[in-house]
Amino acid sequence: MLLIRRFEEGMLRLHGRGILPCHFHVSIGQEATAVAVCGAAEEHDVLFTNHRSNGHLIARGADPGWMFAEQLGRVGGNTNGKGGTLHMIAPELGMPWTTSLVGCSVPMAVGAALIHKQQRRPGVVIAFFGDGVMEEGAFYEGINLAALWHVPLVCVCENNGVPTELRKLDTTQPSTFLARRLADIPSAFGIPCATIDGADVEGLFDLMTEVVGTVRRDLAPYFVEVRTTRYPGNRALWPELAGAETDLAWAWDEGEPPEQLAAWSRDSDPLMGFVRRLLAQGAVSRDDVTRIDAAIAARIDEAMESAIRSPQPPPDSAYGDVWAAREGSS
Amino acid sequence: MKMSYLKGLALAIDEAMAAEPRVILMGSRMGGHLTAQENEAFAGVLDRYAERIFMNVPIAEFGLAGAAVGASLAGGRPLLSFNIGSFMLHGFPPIVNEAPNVHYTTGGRCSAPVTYYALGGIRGGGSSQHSHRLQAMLGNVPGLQILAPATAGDAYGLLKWCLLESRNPTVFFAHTDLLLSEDEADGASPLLPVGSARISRAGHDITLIAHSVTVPRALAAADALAADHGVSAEVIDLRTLAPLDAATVVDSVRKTGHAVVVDECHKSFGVNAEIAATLAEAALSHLKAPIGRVATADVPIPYNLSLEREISVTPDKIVQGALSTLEGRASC
Repeated sequence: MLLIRRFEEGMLRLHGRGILPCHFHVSIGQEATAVAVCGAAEEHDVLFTNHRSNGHLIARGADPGWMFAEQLGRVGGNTNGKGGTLHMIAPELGMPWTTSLVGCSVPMAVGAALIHKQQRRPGVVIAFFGDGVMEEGAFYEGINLAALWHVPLVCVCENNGVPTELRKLDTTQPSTFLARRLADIPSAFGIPCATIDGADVEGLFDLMTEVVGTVRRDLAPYFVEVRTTRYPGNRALWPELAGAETDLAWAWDEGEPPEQLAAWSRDSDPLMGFVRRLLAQGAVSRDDVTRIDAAIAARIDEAMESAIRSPQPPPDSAYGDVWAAREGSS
Repeated sequence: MKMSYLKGLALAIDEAMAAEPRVILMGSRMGGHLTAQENEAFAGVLDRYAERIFMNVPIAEFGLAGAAVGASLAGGRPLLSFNIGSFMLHGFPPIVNEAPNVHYTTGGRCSAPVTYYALGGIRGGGSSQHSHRLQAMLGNVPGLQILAPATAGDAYGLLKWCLLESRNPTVFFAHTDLLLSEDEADGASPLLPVGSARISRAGHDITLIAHSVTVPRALAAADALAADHGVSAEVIDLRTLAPLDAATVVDSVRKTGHAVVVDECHKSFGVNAEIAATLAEAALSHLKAPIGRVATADVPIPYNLSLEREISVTPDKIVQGALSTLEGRASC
């Protein structure tokens, strides 16, 4: 979680330096979901992420070095400068294609799961998506197919607009989606559903381990709504730093978070909550926390500076990659 | 008075909603990332007609596009805005396969006067899924009007005409790089009917045929051609692609004898291909050289900005295309 947080704070710094080519998205406050889901997943599972992909990739084991280069569109990224922030991929980690089109990942994940089942592959398919996906028709067509075909699909709906006081409940009513419980919808298709507080990383890991295991065993879809509270800096297209970068010393009351961050940091941040619990349990010391954070910060700084030094792809490369070579050729 | 393209859009909507209570506004915002400028241009408009504005909507392009067709069939005059024009692809069933078929398939008894606004085009870092230019795809759909004006005055006049007078479905393409451009436009000026191109700059050596964002780029190229090469280029702004004002294009090329089509669509099967075919049919004997085409390369749009520029239409490429055509060589 900390590596994801520091990576995305790095993204906000790159934005501050004016060198990101496009608007971008961060998942600050949603790190627990990525960590729990990817922790429960196995190597041969396939994952579909979305435009908010940093956490999913890092939790799956992606290296921040190529990820920064990809975010900048540089050599050393994963797509020769073609994909970028909206299309972060890692085929080597079972993440072959990332769509930025809201709703489109669900039917694609259903089809991937169909192949897994039909070819008797061991892996399940996991689709991450935001609550906005459930406003799109493609979602409904997708889950109907998933239920009809009994495919091994884990739908992870990251609802990042839940007010703090409602996070532990299971009902919400945003202005553009009038279903009171998101889980009612897949339930109507006979798909089992769970709802969980996205700030509770331990609970999330237990739940996702059970859900992924169930899907692997039963070869049938499952839907999980993870309820998180939006990070105050997470505005629509251009997120910004809310007050300050996370200071883990806030966990032992050394200094105060800036005012606009204080309530969120106290009540809704899965990272700070986890650090506080680990300290209270005596599982880690303040020195441990500080040391781990310093190591991660150094890794992120190095990865970011290396990406910034990475060259632009050669102009001619714009014309490559349009057509794939025939089967069997290299 | 001088106004921005964004202000031209806002003024058209304001005046059309004032004049015609059947006009409703649906969908998302219209100004892309230019939130502050959009708020300024639209100041008061959204409040004034609050009961006819439906802009707090779910992410549901298919549903909204279909609802807009239904609203038009029931006597409304809807304007549905796609702030990211590429997402109009999710609404293609109603846009392509419902609205344009209504008038013909009902033997002329019904029509669907719906207007779709799409902020489209290559915008910088949009990569493959946020940079589409859909006018060529939609140009293959009979019954659909396609507008792609380049100036504030034309944006104002054409949009207002769609909202008040058109009885046909229309897709109106704006472009991120045009929204802040300013030129002369007057509120309450005459409506601008579709199907009429504009000669943006007169010339006698070569005709540059452009639309939307390629118009200012072609004008910049014409300046460079005159200053650096002594070439007098005529620039045509098509303004509307369907119906197409072929006569203005053909007349100009008969006069100059040289033509370069400048188009932000991909080269293959783009708007440029239709214009070139039109000229081949109607002006071949007047052409002194093969028709040139300067268009976006046939690759999905890359994320990296230098790669994006590499495959995009620029004034430099238009100049080179014009010089090649004048020398009788294929332009690219």
